[in-house]
Amino acid sequence: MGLLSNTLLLLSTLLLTHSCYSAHEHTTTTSRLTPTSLPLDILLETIIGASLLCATIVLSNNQLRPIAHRVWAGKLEREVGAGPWGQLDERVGFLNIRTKRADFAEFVKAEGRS
Amino acid sequence: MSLLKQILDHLQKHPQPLKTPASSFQLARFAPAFLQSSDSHKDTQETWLVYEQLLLACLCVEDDVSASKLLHTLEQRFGSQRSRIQALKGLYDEAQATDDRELVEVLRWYEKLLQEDPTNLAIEKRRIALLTSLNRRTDAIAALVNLLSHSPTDAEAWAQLAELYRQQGLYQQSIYSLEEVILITPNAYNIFARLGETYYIASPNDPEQLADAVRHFCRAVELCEWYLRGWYGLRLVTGRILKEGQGMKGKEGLDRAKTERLYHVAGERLKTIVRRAKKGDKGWTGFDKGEVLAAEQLVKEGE
Repeated sequence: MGLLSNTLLLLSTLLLTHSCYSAHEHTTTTSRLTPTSLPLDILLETIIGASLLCATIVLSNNQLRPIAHRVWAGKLEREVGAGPWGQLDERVGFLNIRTKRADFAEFVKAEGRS
Repeated sequence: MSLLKQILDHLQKHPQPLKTPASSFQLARFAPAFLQSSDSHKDTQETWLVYEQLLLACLCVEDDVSASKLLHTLEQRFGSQRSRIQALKGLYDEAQATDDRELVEVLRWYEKLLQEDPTNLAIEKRRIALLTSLNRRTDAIAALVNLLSHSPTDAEAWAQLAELYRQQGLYQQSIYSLEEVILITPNAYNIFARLGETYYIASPNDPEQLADAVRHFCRAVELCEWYLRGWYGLRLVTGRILKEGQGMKGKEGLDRAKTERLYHVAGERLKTIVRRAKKGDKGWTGFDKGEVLAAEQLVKEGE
């Protein structure tokens, strides 16, 4: 998380907290007999604080994954070679260890020759 | 970065570490250092996952010293009565066996454990794997059918049955088993590709079967837009349909024009994959080199 996103998060949290506190103060200090609506600056502070907080959280997180299955699975296939159902191809529960060891012995022989 | 984090990072970048001897070796070389490090004494879920993966890799590359140490620690932590630990111990014994007689002893041990506890799924699977390894394929298939009769939602078991049937040449049964896997995991595009391949292998001259193969490959690439086997299969089967001039007229939804379009789209996709994989672009390094070469060959043949 960069310095800018951390600063913006702190700022927006402070704004939101301050606006909530101001709203609370306003409702407790104004008398019940002359009701007034919430002052404009508190409203603006709440809106700005909330939207800045949401925007910073979303934009600072770069671990977002694609939504469409076809795009996400395609990304996995081309980046790491196996998708979420790779274990249906590998089937580790039925692993044939003797053929794996034989393959490895051949691999070592081939590497030794080359 | 701690060694544990390094290994977990490696496992994330290579999710099928036992696929080839080279990839098993890449993982197994972490084992001696891991056993020496303090990370191996932590008691977290990640540590034990790494233990299991390293054990499998070490057994594949014949590093039996590290394998026995890893197995011993697992047994001490979880006890040797747990089915998963028993399966790992069985795997270790199978790897150490030098002749058929010793393998039959391991088989007897599996059967004894199954008599004591018939619900031991891990040992049932190991028994089936050992029967396959001993070339007793009919016994393996019978045992697997028995497993599936009491555990019908095990996709891995259905996939294994499909493979065993395919090896025996029983393609219709193989197709049935693959369809059972699809019922359990409907988005498994690799199984759709296998279905297409099995339809193609089963009857390469029957236009209806080829049309079904095309449909399965289309579904596979619909679910995963860069699935090399899917595009390869699509190009191969549509190429065969166009070449043999099979009577595709009147077949619902698959006429000559559509087949040609699919053929060309598959060709374009394969060319993109081959070009970017060979260049080694970032985000395109996951393809298997052999598969990329085969795709290049197929596209060249079609030109």
